[in-house]
Amino acid sequence: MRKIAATALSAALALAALPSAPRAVPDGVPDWVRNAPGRDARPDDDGLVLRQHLALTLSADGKVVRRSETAVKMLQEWVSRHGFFDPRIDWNDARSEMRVEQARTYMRDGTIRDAKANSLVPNTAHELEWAVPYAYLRQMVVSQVGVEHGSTSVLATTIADRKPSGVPLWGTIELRGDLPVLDQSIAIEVPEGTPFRWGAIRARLIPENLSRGGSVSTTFRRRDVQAVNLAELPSGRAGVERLVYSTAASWADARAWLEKRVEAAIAPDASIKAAAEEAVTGATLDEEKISRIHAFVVDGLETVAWPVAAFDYAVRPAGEVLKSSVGHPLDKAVLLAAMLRSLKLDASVALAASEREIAKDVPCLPQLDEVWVRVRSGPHAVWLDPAAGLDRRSRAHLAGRAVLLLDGVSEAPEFQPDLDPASNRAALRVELSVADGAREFGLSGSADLDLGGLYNPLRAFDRSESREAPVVSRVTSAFGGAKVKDVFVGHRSADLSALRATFAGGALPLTPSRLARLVLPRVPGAVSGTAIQIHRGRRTLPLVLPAPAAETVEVVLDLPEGTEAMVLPAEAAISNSAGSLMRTVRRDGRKLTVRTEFVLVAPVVEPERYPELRELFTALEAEGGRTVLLRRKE
Amino acid sequence: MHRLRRPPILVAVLAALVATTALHAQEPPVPSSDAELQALVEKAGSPKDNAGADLVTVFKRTRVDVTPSGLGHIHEWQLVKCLTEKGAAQLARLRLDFDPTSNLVEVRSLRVLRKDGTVETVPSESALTLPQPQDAIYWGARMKLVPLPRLRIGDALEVRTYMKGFLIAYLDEMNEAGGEGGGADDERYVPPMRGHFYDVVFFQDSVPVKLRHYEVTTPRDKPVQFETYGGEVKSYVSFDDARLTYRFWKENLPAFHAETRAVAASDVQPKVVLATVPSWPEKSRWFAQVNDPQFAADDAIRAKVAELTRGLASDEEKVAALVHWAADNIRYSGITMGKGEGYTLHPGPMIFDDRSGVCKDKAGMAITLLRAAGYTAYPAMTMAGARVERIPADQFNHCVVARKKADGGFELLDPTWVVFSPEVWSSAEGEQNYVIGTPGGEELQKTPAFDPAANKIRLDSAAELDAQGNLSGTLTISGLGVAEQRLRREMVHASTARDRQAWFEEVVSRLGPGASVEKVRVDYARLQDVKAPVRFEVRYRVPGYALLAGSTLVFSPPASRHPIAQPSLAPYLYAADDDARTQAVQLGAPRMMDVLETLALPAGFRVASLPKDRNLDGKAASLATHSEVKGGKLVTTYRLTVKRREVPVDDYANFRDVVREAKALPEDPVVLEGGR
Repeated sequence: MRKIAATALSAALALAALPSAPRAVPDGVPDWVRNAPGRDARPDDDGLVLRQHLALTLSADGKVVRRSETAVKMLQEWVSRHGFFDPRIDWNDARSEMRVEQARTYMRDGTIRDAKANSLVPNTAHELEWAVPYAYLRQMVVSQVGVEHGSTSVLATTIADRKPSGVPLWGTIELRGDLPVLDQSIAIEVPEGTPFRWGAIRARLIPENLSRGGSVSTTFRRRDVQAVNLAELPSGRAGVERLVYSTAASWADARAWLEKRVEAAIAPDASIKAAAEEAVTGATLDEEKISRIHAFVVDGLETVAWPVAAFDYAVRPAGEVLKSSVGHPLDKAVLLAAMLRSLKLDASVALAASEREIAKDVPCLPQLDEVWVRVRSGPHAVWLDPAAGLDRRSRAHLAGRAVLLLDGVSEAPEFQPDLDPASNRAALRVELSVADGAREFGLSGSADLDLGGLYNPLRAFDRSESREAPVVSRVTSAFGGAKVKDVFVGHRSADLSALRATFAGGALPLTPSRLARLVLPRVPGAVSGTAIQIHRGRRTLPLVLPAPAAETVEVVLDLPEGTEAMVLPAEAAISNSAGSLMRTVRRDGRKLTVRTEFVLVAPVVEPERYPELRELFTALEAEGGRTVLLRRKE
Repeated sequence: MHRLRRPPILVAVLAALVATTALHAQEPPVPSSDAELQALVEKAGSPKDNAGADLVTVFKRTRVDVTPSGLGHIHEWQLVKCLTEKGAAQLARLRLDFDPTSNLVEVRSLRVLRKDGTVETVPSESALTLPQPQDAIYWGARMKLVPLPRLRIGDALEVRTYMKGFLIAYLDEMNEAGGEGGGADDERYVPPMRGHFYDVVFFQDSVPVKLRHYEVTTPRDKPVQFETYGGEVKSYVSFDDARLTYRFWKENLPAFHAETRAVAASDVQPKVVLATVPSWPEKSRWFAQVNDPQFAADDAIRAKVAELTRGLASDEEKVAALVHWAADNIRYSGITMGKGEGYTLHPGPMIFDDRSGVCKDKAGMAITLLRAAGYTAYPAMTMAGARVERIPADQFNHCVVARKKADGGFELLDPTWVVFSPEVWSSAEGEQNYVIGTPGGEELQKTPAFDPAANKIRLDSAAELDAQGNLSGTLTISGLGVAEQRLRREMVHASTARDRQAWFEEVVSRLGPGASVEKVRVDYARLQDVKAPVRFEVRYRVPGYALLAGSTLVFSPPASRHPIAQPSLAPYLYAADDDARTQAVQLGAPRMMDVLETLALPAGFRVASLPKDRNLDGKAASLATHSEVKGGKLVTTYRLTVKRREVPVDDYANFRDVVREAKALPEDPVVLEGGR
């Protein structure tokens, strides 16, 4: 039986020799620790990163050494609970060895406590527990001892290649986080003559270049780097400052380097063909075949959700991926492409950026952190995420993002056209009949629903069951819990689903004061203020919205005799840099028509423009903007 | 308090008599050929026959042979059928967890029974041994991962494993003599309570199970006492001259799905708890004996005790100071001390130096400090969030402190759960089973229930509405017990210091979109000072709060909109969505939300309509609201009480109605008429 993590254990053993007893060395506390600000000076910080040093060295023989040193001072309890003092070190054990050079805490009174052997804990990341084929990806948790209020813990590590990897030295580094950094230094050293490019996203960096001994080093030093509030981000890390670097000569070279690996892995295999043919049994349309193969890869293989760059883009042959029932996104993309190609469908693997901004001049594949497959279906291209169904992730999710297609010719990533409110739109028109009841108003009617772009939840080819009713019921349930009676499909495609439904059985209870409150619905999949934390009064980071969008809701109410609309939604006409909101109310006898048009034009809202977005959402979601208050006359 | 009322041997014999006569004939036969296995696989059906499941366990059979030392040799045989492609993905690999210090696991046989009748043997040599994913508890747990060939729909995986020892690391110091039935190497696997065996056997799983069968044999002089829970489990007991054999089985179990905020699965699922240990006092004595050497203080600890207790007069103050020091200064991060991990508390000086540990180490630190201060204190085993059955098998997940008082009784202290709380025993630990480890031996006991008022959130709302419907006001939030602790933790565990204003912005956003907050200052030193009651005050404005219709204003009282709705503070709001339940609701503690709101009304308006008063009361929960106008102000009171830590299924309807009524309060507005 093979044993893994020998290096991690040897690191643990190496540190076991360190003294575990406290060392009271009054002069052993460095000045930068001793003189660091305390809680009184920094009441608004949970902790301080006193030192954040990273040095990457590519030697002439192609080996990389990565040295890092981080020192964190505890000021408030929060910092002791979010991994700052139990950091996780990840490395590729097939390529490199990892050493913990120092794991030390300077306690408040100057006592020094070095980590003991049992502080260094070989671990497996949760995401990798399925990853039998990738057991070479290792993790170590360093549980610092002696941590207390006012203490500073230092962790220094070295990850050194055992042999040249053949992988360019490339990557991205986040430059800001929840804690301020007093002393930040990133140094990248490469042999003279090695192409080296770097770029900064949302940061101004001033490099110090130095040539010496056949190497060129580029160093970025910053002091007093302010913290950012990562809690503002609805998901991901979009908008956080990053440094991007690469020694790849060009995007074309990077693409060719990866494509060679991927194409070799896609190579045909009898098991692939057999599995593909079995999966599409009975399907005649290409669209259905694509959908079935996609579903097979999404559902039938566990996804190892770990950055593919961490695997150095190592990819297994498609047949092996199939046999193992598990794969990282690039493995799954290879299998998906191989199965599609075995059916004579034109499929290519692509990398895409999850964030809207990349350093386009830096040929760095890790910037493109998602893997997709493009398959031709007649004149159309269908984009498939090998780890998610088409209803969840589609071409619309690539809009505005950089995509590098492994097609043998791409010279650089291309930004996909952004969505616009004309295509990324949802419209709802409801005719609502209000009937008088003893203690409630009865509600019934019809709803027309058009859902395009990201709003369209019915993109996948699927003839197995009716999927429309649940979509419509998300609207109709707002009308006193009304149930869908019938659904008619006017149109269904990847771009647009158009549905009509009838509904009945809704009930709005009357209060003792004979009032009933009807809150008008929004469209299914509406951009919600809650999801983007619109309660925040201000932001320090840009807010990245799904896409420019348009939502239209028109509700026509037919009121019964003896009932009045006591309160109607407030009319509105707002237009600003974030978008617009128009709400009109028309009365025509017993009929009331409330129409709301909401448009978001900016996919990214900078902090200084955030108040304008908030103004729009406040007017849109305010009770006074969505409520019809009905009163039965005495 | 649960007590065993008759000698364990009698329980065993009675059970044997009943079981042997009634149920022996129904015991499912053991399949003896591949053809019989294939027939069982076929009979296990399709997703349609199994409520859409991706996998079905055809059978899981466990056979345990207990030696005189208490060491169990565990043979497991399992057959799982793949029903869908998702099921195939879930069978990408076999994972077997173990603790290398006290536990051995081997894959004896691994085969794929193909739907076409062929059988494929999987080489177990391909297994990898890796660390398990670990968070906060870093005791070096391992897992064996065996990659499996792809299963197709209709195929089945047959696994035979052998295991010995225990999954929790036990003491080595106890293992002095030579081993029985396995040689000296087995010593590390012999349980620390030498000569005794226990197990808790669950019969349900996350996938449907057609048959779960468990058999344990013990030496004739080592009878097992057992009890079944969570529904009928068939059983059969037999014996010969040398061995006692106990068999338990259950057939056709659906997949287990936990309902929202349900009690622990172990409180609901069918299970058998069994043990050879005669009584809890024996367990208690063992626990005291193995841990007693760990609490010796050194000079540094004695100096710390002197520092912490200086100037304090009463025992209450001193004990609180010592417990809170352990609570606040021992970081929750558990590194292993190697031998003895799991059931031995780390030595006091080790914890003091490391400033880290898990619950048992925080308890160990507190005991060391207390003993150094001259108090008598012992460790106690408890089970947070689930029941401990009366059979004295290990059923614990938490460790606390019991201090002996002058009157001979015990005071429970929990340094793990009182971080950022003025309490020394958390009011989230009512109705909780525990066993104190003392030299004399203690019974299984249960902590008293807490009063909901002890965990109250108090919301004082003073607001003003203008004639245009704009609202402004101040919310003052305070709490007691768990509520107070959670309020502090919202600030120091859940929010970064720079993000605390957003917490208040979220609170007032529940009054209406566009609500704005004046800057709120939350001082960390005050949060740390648990002696001073926590009290947050936030001033806010909500433009357009009331609906305006001509000269009429319509609005719901702000407090009826549940501004304090964080799941940690008002979990009940998220536990009443189901119309009916089969599992009790677990809320951690009885709770109360108490609101007093005074709303100044705009001049020239009169109240045309007030919300009706609510008065619901039942065994599990109550709601009382009242609105009236006093001196031009609308005064609203609201009290929602959840009386039980756990809401039993029988009382769920009352709980559901109370919560739903509370959530619907904004639908019943105040109407003000102007112009008079």
